[in-house]
Amino acid sequence: MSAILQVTGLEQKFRLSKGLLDRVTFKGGIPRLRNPLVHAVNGVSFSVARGEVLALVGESGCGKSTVAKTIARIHPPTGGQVQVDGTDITRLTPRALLPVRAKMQMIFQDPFASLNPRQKVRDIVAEPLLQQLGSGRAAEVRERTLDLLARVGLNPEQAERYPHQFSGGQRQRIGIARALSVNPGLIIADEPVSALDVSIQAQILNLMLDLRDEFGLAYLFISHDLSVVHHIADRIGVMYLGFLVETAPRDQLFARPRHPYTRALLSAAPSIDPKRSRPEIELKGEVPSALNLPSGCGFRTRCPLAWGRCAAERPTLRDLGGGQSVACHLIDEPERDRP
Amino acid sequence: MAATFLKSQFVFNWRRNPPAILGTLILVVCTGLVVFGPFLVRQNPYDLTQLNLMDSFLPPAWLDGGNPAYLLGTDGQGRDLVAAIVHGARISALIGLSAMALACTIGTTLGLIAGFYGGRVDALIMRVADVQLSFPSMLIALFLMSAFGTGIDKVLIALTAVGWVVYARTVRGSTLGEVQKEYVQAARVAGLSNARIIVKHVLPNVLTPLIVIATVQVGTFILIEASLSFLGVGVPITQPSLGLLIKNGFDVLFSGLWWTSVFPGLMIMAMVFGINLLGDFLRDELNPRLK
Amino acid sequence: MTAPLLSVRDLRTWFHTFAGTVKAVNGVSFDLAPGEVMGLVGESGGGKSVVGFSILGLIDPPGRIEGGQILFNGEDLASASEDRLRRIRGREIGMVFQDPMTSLNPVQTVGAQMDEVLRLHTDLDAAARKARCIEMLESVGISQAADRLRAYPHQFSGGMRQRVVIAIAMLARPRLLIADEPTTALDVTIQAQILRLMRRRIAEDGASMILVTHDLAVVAEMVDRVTVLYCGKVVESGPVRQVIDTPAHPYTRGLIDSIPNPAHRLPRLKQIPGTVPDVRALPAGCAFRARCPRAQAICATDAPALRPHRGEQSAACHFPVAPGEPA
Repeated sequence: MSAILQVTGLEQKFRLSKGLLDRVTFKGGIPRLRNPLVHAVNGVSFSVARGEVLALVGESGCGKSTVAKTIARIHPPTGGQVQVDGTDITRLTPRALLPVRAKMQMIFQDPFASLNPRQKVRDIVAEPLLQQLGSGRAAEVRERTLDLLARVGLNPEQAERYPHQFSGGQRQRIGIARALSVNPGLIIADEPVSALDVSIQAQILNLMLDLRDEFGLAYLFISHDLSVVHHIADRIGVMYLGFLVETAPRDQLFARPRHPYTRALLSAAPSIDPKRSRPEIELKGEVPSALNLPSGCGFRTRCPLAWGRCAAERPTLRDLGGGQSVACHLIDEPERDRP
Repeated sequence: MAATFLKSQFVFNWRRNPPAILGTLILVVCTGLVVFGPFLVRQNPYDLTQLNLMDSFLPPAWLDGGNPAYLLGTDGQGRDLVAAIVHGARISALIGLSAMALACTIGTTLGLIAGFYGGRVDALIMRVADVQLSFPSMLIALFLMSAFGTGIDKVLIALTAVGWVVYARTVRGSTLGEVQKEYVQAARVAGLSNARIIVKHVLPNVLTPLIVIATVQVGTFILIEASLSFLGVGVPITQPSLGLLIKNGFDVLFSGLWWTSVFPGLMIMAMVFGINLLGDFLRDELNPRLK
Repeated sequence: MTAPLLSVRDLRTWFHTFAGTVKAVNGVSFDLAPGEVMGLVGESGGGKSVVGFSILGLIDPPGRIEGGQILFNGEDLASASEDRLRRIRGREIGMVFQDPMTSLNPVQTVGAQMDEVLRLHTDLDAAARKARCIEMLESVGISQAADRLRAYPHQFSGGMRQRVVIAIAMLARPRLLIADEPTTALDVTIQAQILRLMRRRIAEDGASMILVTHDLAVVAEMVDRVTVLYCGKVVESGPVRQVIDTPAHPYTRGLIDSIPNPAHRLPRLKQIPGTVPDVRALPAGCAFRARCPRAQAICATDAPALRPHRGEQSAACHFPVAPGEPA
């Protein structure tokens, strides 16, 4: 078993409102209770091998961040299974999760909100390791903390400062040091560079790739930015409305995207490169609400190629060989695939 | 540390805000009186052996018949009003501060629990708070005092029961905001238990708005306690607070013996005024939305 | 060459805060021809948004325009009265901000807000105003416009709201549109729709636009000319393709190199070392020198002026990069 992370049929549904009164609707004068559920993640399966970088891309509301936070057990999943290094963590209690936390850590999106403003940098970075080792080994933890800060490019004096004294890029380095402290095999990175300026973004991406080579890390990298994903990922998964619609090795996905949504996403991304050939696929309208999923394929309401079958039957992810899988009925009827 | 505080924006703004300076001055004087006053006056107003009934109802020193030994005059038992006010203010301030501390502790704890766990615990705590808020606080305090009887401990219970709600609601609101932030999620990923997340991460970040509430509440509590004592359901006669002094003086107010009531009243006014001036400044300074 | 529609001369907008004076814009000059689309790019702290706000006269204390001129049609907006500015905003200069909710009133219908703009800035009667509103909404791709006029902003999705904002900004047919990160909050597929729409609206009205953004890729696809800001100063400006293909200033070069390019993937991205200096205590000489691979002794003492480099391209650097030369 070489996968450090194996996700099978992951589902995450949130109840929108808790109050009884919020749920009452009047239909034809009769009060009814409705139960609005946000279908954030609808049966997503993938795996990440040791040392591999898998990127999940998609637009806001596609469920990519929810997948990340569910795997990190910030929210328990409502369905499916998550295995970290062979251990099913889906139903573990917080206490039983602690050894798993040493194998899997997380880097967050917002460099300002992800660090407690009232904690010194030293304590922020030490926190995960302190949980693993217990406060009895504080001296050891302290030493490792300073090593980690040095590794991400901060000096020991800065360990005594508070987060507000740092720039966005430096804060993200602190977050990376925190994740590294327990020497994990897998780091879940939820949009780690999207809040940063481009020049700083390049520094952080380079650091993450260096750390991967140095520590043999695997990343589950969440991003909306295709050029960032192309730079860092070995394999890419594209999500739409809580479904994984396509996965493929990086170069294959960029060279031969199969799902109409992947193609639209690739063509919509602006680029500084004028030579890039772009078959313009213009998407009409906007993403449907996750409260009320369309029947059949989630993308059919915006898909320029959709036909009757797409409304009747939900496509499943199918292996096309070469590591590429697509959830689209066009695989069966390729003759329809011309706009 | 002290040097950086003196150079901070907080001090910078304070020095440009005359009401805040005035409030601070009043409070410094009041605090001085409350802390050191009892050692400075010659008389212990509750030691009956030091009282002389011959000196009862002497007017303030600058009026006809006044005695220079009794600057603000005396009451019906010949008590020096300066001494009585200084001791009374001490009781009032102690009650206000301790009741605030109790209300703050209880309210903050309940607010943290409600905001962090949500669901039924939250609903229960907040509904109790709603019911509590739908009655005037004076009414609740009066009701509790008439049920329990007088005494400083009873006053503290009544004030705490009146005051915890505002902390619970504020803390719950801030907690709801904080638990959404990624640093709390990071603490979960680090493997911290819920209790440790609440104490180590959420609590320090919801405290700032409480400073304003707590400051203003001390003033409110001093007033409520004074009202209760004035109505005769507050502190016992053996430990007269400012409110009780006013009540004692009020009985003879219309006989022209106004000083026994007015000077304690002015003292309460000064304390609460100072607190509110400072509270307004703190509210402007600490409210992130106004920045 | 035709007279410029907008000419910004040595603009200085400073913020006097407790912690010191922030020289957010410190001597910025550029011209904008009628019908031209210019990109104003830079990273956070570069001052690009402050330039936009200064043109609109929307600088609030502790900020102040300390000096320089903003000549719009020959009239200096930097010294114009608030009354005059209010008349110009909306009628002659339209604006679109990053967060559409900040420019829409949440408790008024979209129709009422559009109608108000027309009442303020045109002499049209009620029926003509309504017709114009419907026409405008349709032109930004909102179907059933007559019904949508009665909707409130929260009833629109993020992308639709930004369309409404663009419609309002273009209502009085302004000659200049200032768009501050108009698509940063939007998803790429929606961003593509909005950018396409803005380009079309600008072209149809023959208006000019200043597009303020951090995203060089958006700039590359949208604008004619680009002005790059760093620490409140223009470091480079020129035709967009020329600047992106052969940047002259090491900062521009660094910015372009740090964008991952799927067409030529490198094992490591080229990065600009260090961070933006504290704008309250800028060093003497060139503000970029501490991060610059080409910096020499003169960079620490003399601040370089913006000088013509090649054709219409100019750069503020003592040692500009020649085309084809490695950085």
